[in-house]
Amino acid sequence: MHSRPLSDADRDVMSQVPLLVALGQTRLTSLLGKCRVECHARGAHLFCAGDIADRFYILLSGHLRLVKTSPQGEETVMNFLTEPGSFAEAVSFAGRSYPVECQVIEDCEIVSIPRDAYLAILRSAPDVAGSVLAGFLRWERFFMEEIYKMRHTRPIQRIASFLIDFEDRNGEKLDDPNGTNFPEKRQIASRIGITPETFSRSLRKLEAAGAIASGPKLQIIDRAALLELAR
Amino acid sequence: MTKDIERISGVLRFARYFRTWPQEDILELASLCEWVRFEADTMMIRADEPAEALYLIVNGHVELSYKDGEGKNGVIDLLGDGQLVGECALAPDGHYAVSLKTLEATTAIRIDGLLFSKFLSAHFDRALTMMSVMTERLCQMLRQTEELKCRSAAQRLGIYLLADAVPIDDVHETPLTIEKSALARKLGMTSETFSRALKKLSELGVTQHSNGRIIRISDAEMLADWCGLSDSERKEGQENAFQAVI
Repeated sequence: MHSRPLSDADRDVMSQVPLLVALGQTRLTSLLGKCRVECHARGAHLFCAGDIADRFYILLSGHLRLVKTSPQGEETVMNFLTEPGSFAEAVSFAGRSYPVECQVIEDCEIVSIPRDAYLAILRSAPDVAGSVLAGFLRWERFFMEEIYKMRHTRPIQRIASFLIDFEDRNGEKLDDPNGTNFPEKRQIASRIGITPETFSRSLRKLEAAGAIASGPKLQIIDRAALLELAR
Repeated sequence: MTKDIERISGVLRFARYFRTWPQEDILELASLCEWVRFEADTMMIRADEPAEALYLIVNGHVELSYKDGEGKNGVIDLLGDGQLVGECALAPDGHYAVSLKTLEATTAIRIDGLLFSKFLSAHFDRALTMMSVMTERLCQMLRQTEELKCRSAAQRLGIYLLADAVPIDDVHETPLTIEKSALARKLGMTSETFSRALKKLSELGVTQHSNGRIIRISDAEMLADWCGLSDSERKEGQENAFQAVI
């Protein structure tokens, strides 16, 4: 890992993060003055499950994977983080340990913010606590959506929905033949909670419907058809 | 609706969300609250409506449902006594993300969202405890997601039964306080899947008694093993380690 000072572009990204916007410009500038951008290579770990969450993070670029490992050693992908934004703030503010492991799956740039530094600033501006809590609601909605999908949608719908969402969030890169592609198939299967066998069967159905090409690399062929199958 | 600060503060001080609060803060919070009672099958809150209040369930069961982008509704959880819902009322211009419907006559404490938010702005340490409350909720949802992804219906039912099991002589018994159909929805399965899961568990010494209102577990350790619970999940020293798992 190496680090560098924040650029103007980094500051622009960070000033869009609700958790930081809530602090107001003066306090935010003060906080950013103490931050550096950390550059992590693919394969690195930002934190492990059980580590004390003494900091939270802002992802500027790159891809991360949040993984929960069962007592039996089985890994489950809980989320892919591919968009700029904050993460691990809730556990950090609560002074808990990270419940998941964070792996770098594509070289990334992040800013880590110490919990104590953030809370010290927040303590001087308690009127923004509501806005900070509002930031947590984003994650609550994420989990509600997850639980809803797991309970009420079929595997083929979840695959179609994942592919559409992922493309929406990473469209430009996916268009680039040399750029990022969808995650590995087994990782997608883990992320959306279906077995590799069911995943393969569902992919064949999506391919037969002309919605995707499922070669070594997944590719969306007919987005409208895929959208229909996601419903 | 009735207002009764002393009785409300008496309930709040034992609610796990507020039990570390000093008495004067409990009393101040109680002054922002009122008792509310809902008949069975009543919508307490509706998704997308402005979030004006939080509710602490005092007595009863309510069903939490989520509306997806297509406007389809689905139950995602079942909540009971002592649980808090509607934290989005603390956010400026917050809207409810879920709908809440009573399954039976339900008593709750309604906490005015705007006034509570102002209270938290003036009491930073209390705001931190609310952040902890929300974090705990998020961690529970993370566990629930993991359960749905990784464990079978029978394993999820087994863990639920273990969570409420009481040792009696050399077995454990779990009283079912809600209808099986509601429990099935809580666990994210159909009634048919629930029946199949119960049948599967019968092979592991889980039997029904008193017209299905009592579930007897002949060997809780064996069931915990079969459900894939680790030693640390069982022995975290918590009041109820199995409950934490689900």
